[in-house]
Amino acid sequence: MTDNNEFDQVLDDALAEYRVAEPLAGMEERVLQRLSLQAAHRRTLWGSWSAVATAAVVLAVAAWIGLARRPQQEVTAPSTVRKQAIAPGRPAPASDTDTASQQLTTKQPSGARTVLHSTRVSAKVQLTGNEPVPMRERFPSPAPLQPEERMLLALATTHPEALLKEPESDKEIAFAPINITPLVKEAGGYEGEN
Amino acid sequence: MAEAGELATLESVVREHARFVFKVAYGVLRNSHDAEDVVQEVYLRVHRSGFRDVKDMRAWLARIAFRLAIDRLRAPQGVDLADIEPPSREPDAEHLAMHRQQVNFVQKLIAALPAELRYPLVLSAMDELSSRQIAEVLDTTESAVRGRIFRARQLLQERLSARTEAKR
Repeated sequence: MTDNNEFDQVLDDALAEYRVAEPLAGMEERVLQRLSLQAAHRRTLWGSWSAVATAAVVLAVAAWIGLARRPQQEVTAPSTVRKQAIAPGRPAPASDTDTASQQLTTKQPSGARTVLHSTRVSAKVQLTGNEPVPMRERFPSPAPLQPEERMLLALATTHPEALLKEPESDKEIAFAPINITPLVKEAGGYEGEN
Repeated sequence: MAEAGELATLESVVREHARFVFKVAYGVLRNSHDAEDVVQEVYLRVHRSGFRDVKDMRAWLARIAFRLAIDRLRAPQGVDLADIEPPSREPDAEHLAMHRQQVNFVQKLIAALPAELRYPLVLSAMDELSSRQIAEVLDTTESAVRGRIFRARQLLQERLSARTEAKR
């Protein structure tokens, strides 16, 4: 076996196993069938994913529209500290919208009581529409004076000393004796007229 | 519609190259069923990845098939050349039977070659692949492919000569 030609012949025949190897009949059809199955599977998968994605987008848009069209909006007002000077002896007016969580009473040099309302206003202000709420210079807005208040204000303007006077509740009230004169019977008056 | 066109193109690729891909896989696996499984896997991967930018379709398919076949070989064929028993020393009546024995012996020797020598030799047996394409499949240079084929042939010839001398 030293002859190269003879070796080449033997080697060529040995390698023919690899050269002439043939698959079983119908391999191409089996491959194509599997490819079409995979393509169908991919289409199904894409269809499912696209349906899920579409549903997610629709839900997101619906949620966004719902938020945009919501008629009532909740606004949380910031914490406020309000000072209100009131006259002595007069109770602090309760506000409708304020919820006093802490109330401090201090004496001012002027003698007037100052009630500190350290309130965390968490009132939910109901707003209509989306228009911005104008900021008020004073909150709550002042109400028109009642007739009694107007009379008191006029008195304080014209006669302030009358308001500073001590109340005279301790003094006894003296009333002048009431003299009631009896009725006088006139002659031939009431009796026997008929 | 685009997918349908792609499938039609892929069908033509299957019909043109499937048998060649089978041979590449068979060269590594030496089993028809395993080789066909590799062929199917090759085309499934081609379908997934696409093949529009491929320049040398034959070399590309051979490269995929070769790597998949290598991956399929779970355990390396740990056959040593020295472990292969030479054919029987009994005199053969016919020269054809003698030749057949030699061919079988060389086939066993080829199967027992180291991988870096066996695969270039087996791929070179396929007329469809050039040295450049074999180098591309094996991810090496063309000169390295030629050198490995030469060494494989040399090793096989030495073994076969040693067996013949021993018979005499």
